[in-house]
Amino acid sequence: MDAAGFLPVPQAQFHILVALTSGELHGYAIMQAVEQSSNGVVAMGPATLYGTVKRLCASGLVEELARRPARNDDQRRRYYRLTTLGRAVCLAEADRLERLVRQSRANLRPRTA
Amino acid sequence: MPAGTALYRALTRLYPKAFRARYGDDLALHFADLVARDGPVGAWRRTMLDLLVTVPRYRLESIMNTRRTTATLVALVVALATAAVGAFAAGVAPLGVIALAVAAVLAIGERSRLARSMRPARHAQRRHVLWAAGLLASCAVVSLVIGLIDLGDRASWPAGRLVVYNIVFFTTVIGALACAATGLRRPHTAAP
Repeated sequence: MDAAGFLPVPQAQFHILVALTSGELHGYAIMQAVEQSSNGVVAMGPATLYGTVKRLCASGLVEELARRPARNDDQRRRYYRLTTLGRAVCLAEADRLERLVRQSRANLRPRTA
Repeated sequence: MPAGTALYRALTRLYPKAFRARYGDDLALHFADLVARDGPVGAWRRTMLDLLVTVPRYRLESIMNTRRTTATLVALVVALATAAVGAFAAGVAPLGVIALAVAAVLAIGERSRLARSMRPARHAQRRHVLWAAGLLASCAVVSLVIGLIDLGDRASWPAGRLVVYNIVFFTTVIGALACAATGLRRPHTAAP
């Protein structure tokens, strides 16, 4: 499916996609990344996080890794990464938001005569 | 395992079985990480709210997920609507109202954003919606026939029953038309 078909991406999903742009992460690391990128504004609970990850996996935007990247990590942890489609959707949503921000700034900025 | 984590793990049993089987270990690990970072109070503050919000939501989603397809729900709605008509015909109006209300809630819920958001694959939606249209149309015909049999040979039609039959008939007809219009608008797409 085309990336445009996924737009607009719900906020929680977009935060997770953005977190995963930094690489392969497990659930708790995703939560930390989301908190950091949103300056603590977005604080997801565990079930909200895994429910959203499940949805992203089902949509083909995120995939679970078969192997564990960190050898000394708990083997029960699941790691996730963006798929090619997920990367395209994340970029498309970022572009959409960028246009929106540019437009709102242009409209709100006081016009000089 | 610390008592707090054990309690949280026990509470995760409130989630649907499939979700618990897949993410149960991750949830418990996540909670333990939160306790280590924020302390027990901070961890519980975050997870209790999360539990309160997500348990009913995931339970509802598990009812409306793709495995229990639209067709199953529509069949349930039709069965309930038919039972409601039967209950009204038998003079058990309260039972009819309850059955009709449950059918309406299921029908509205099925059409809700929540249900749609849980359907990752769109390839089967056209077929499902057209099936729904067909079933609703059948329900309309059945309710019309039952209504005519029940009321047809009476000298004067009881206003209460007439209203109920009309509501059931027109609701199902409008539902069928809406589903047909929605289904026909959806493009044919190949299964992935």
